[in-house]
Amino acid sequence: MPAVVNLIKGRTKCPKCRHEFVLDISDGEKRHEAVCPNCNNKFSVIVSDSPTETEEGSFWVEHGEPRKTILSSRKQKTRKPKIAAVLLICVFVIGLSTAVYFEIFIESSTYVTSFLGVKGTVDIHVTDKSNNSVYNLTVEIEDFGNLKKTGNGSYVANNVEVGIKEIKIHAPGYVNITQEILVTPFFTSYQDIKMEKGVGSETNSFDLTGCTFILIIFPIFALLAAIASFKRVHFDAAAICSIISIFAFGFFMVGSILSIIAFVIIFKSKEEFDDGKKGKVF
Amino acid sequence: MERRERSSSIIMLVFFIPLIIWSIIQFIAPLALPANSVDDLSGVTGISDNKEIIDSMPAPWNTVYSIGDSLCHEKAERSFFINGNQMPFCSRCTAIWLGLAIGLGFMVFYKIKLDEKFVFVLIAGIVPIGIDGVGQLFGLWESTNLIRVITGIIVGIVCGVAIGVIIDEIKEMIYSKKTQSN
Repeated sequence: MPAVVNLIKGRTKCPKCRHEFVLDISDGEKRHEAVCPNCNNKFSVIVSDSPTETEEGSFWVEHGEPRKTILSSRKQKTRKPKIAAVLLICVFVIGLSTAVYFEIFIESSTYVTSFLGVKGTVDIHVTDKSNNSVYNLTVEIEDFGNLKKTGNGSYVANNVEVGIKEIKIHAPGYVNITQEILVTPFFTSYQDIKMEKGVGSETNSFDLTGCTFILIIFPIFALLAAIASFKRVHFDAAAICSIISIFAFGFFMVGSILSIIAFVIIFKSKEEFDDGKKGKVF
Repeated sequence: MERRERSSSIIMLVFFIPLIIWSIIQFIAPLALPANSVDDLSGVTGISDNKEIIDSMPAPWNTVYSIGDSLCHEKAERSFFINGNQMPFCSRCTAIWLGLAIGLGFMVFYKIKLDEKFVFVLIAGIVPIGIDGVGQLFGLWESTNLIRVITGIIVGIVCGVAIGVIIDEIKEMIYSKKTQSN
């Protein structure tokens, strides 16, 4: 049902320039702040049955028939923001779990990306401990084969499956190295390797990821977005936080997918938010 | 931002006190252990790769180091040493924990509302660590411990404040639900 506001038309006189003009006042209003259209003087209008000009304000006399202004009603509330809030709480839980079990997260995410056929580029730079070139070098990457020498100790491979891959480096007179590397899409995975003279072998695990503890940042955004959605306030805050919570990733990117869904739901229900900017406040 | 009433500070203290104790313990742990007994805990995140060293430590320091072992890579060159012993977390993680405690400590005295301005401050707080971390991850540069501490403490403070805001909002929602049902 549309909201109905009763306005009563009347006339008043500016106490400064004595200009008389017509003014609309809501039904039941006792005092109204008016601005004179002639001299822009601001003054108070006292609504009274016995029109008398006092020191407190100017008089107002009902003039003509009452009329009605019809405003569109506030959009009916749906469950959409609450659904978005629940999804974002799930993102928060998944994000925290990811921070604790990060290695599994890396492996699962790269497995899915690899399954989708996304490839990456690897650039390995090999020298000895004194930064001199190493000759008769073989650089091999798991599930791909030998890397191509591009000069000055650099070995490059394009179209490598993404994920954590083993690189095996052999050179006569040097310790054999097995190095794990994270092959990522869109960015070239670079690794600088120093070879040591001698015999035997050395294995280095992938450890470029940094600390998983940092990953708690993104679930916090998910929780903030969940609260804003649940309370249906601050549409901008809810939308921005849900976008940032995409970086919470989660196992098999579940966190990111849920965040995107939540963002779409929030965006589609923006008129239900009471922030006075995107929503409707009367 | 407004000053918090004393009555509503209690719930914030419940979260702040354990966090500040946890942050201080991280500094006490290397002091409590024999000098030069923990020299290199470098490993991989998510995996307990210093189990032998940690098992030989007395309680409660073994618990502190064990949590650090699974949540942090604990690279020696990226960590601080006290009493000749490596700290249980790397410099960045230590700074984040400390920042979280500072942020929540701030929320004990002040109240901040969840709105657009606050979200923008939160984003501004994670930008430095994002730039430093991503640059390092892709081999563009190697950060220093000082930069790690600065970026870590900034993100820790804003996240600590955010946790405080979340606590306030949840408390408010529970309170308004109770009022409605009455």
